[in-house]
Amino acid sequence: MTRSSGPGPAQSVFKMVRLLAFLVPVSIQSSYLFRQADGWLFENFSLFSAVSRPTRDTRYSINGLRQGDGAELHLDESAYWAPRDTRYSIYGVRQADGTELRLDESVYWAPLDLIRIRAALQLVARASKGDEARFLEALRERYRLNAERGRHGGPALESIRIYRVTYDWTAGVDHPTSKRTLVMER
Amino acid sequence: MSFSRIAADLLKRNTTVSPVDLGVMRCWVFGLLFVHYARHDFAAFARLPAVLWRPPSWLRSVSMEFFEPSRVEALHVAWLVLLALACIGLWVKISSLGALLAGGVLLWFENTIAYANAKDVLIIWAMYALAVLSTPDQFSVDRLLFRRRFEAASRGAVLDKGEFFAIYFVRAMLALMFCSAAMSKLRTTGIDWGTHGTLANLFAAKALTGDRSPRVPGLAEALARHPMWCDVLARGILLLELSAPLVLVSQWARRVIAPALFVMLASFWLVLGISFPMTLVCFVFFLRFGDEMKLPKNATAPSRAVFDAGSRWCRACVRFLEKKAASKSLELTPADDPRADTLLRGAHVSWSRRCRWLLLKGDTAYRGSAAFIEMLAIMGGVWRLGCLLYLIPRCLRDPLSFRREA
Repeated sequence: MTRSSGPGPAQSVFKMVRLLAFLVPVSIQSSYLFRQADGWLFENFSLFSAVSRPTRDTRYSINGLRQGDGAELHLDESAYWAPRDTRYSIYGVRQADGTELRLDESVYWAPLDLIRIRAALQLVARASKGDEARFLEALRERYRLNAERGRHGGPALESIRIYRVTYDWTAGVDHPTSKRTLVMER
Repeated sequence: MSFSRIAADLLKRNTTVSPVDLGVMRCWVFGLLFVHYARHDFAAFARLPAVLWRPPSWLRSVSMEFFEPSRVEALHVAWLVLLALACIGLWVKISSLGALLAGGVLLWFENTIAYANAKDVLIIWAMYALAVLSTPDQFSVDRLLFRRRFEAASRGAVLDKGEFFAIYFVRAMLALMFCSAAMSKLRTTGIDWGTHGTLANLFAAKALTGDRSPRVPGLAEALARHPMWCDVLARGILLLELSAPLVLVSQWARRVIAPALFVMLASFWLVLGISFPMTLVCFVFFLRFGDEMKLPKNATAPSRAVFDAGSRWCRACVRFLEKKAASKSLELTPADDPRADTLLRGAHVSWSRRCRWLLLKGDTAYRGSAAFIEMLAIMGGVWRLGCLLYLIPRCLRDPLSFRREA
């Protein structure tokens, strides 16, 4: 047998390294099938997994017995829904007339998206007033830069207001109500 | 038999690819990354207050000040250059490794600011597969510039089945991603996720909270009014996500489940305005671009093509090829000619009228539109650019050429 007929030691090592480079990430990601943990690169991809519904909930349930066959019926389907949603909402105050306009669109803040901005607002709400002011200032700067680059045609802003808005559609999707509280302004 | 040989055999059985496939996938992945991130302002994240900096615990010692805006901008420019080089396949190993490194740092940095977004994860694994697990492919500028060195490396790669590792890896990570998502839903809310109107509630939240993310207007609102149908949809999503690993072992599943998963992700965009553009790009690893098979022995020069003489389109192409004098290096035979039978029998390949074209070149037989692309390459000169037609997936390219004949 000649020396060139088989794979050299360097080639074997290379193949083994490549096999490991294949198996290690696949194995780590596979482990996330069986556990709940946050992370990045390896994770649960748990988007929407707990949609508007707490994992534990104790509440009264209204049941009725149907006349005739006595079958039990749930009468409070909406109880399972937790039909409300509280989120931060961004408003701008126009420089010209002082009126408000809603700015809940990523185009105003790119490359920051609304999910990231809302997460950031939660963090700065727990931090100091200085951090809060710095973040709102950074938002105003993004708004101005994106307007300059022609990404949106919004007016010049006097200030930015952050409201905490609770939407409630317990009475049905045709009768939603909302309540908002001003939490930050800059 | 070594463990790596067993693994390679398993991959080969489940991932039939042509040598051009990996190269075309590389072009698509790095090219679309370039387009998507060309105007992305990574430096904007460096200008945010440090209180938003949330690195993992083992990297807490790295300060956010390290990522000063000018440094991030320079890294962004370097990444774009490396992406462009990796897309065209120039110094492909170095450029793709560099793109993985620079892109990994930039995307990691962005995702340590306030919130870690899962939508960039898979494209990083795709870059990893192309940079670390792949072998020299047949669709690169390197192949033209460093022909001799490339041919030796490529021959080794073909024997080694290196391309299977890269493609199978991305498919595996994609399948695990969907399966993890389904398991997470079941773990958090149990089967109730598909039975108690959670999806209808999500659509209602989109509709009623004045969410203005770009989506098809009115679609979430319309769906929210039908909780029962939303439950059916939710159960379908769970089933689809749980069955994602089947794409790794069954060709049938790849044809049905992979497109269904693609449509599901695209629907999130249409209904909820939540987009996963770079994850959608990773579905390119389920497509096929080349169509060739190795022959038991080398065919003699010149290359020989068999064509469907009953097709007007084929006859027109043959007239064109003869006029351009390509016939010197290419012998064209109608499929109903007795010489074609002898040729095919000698090469141990069968003819199907559906393919329209079959080209025997060296030790390889090309079929359908792939044969036509290779014939353009044989013509030389500017016609070699016809190789760019490989960028169109075979499932679109073949029907297009057939329709033209009709």
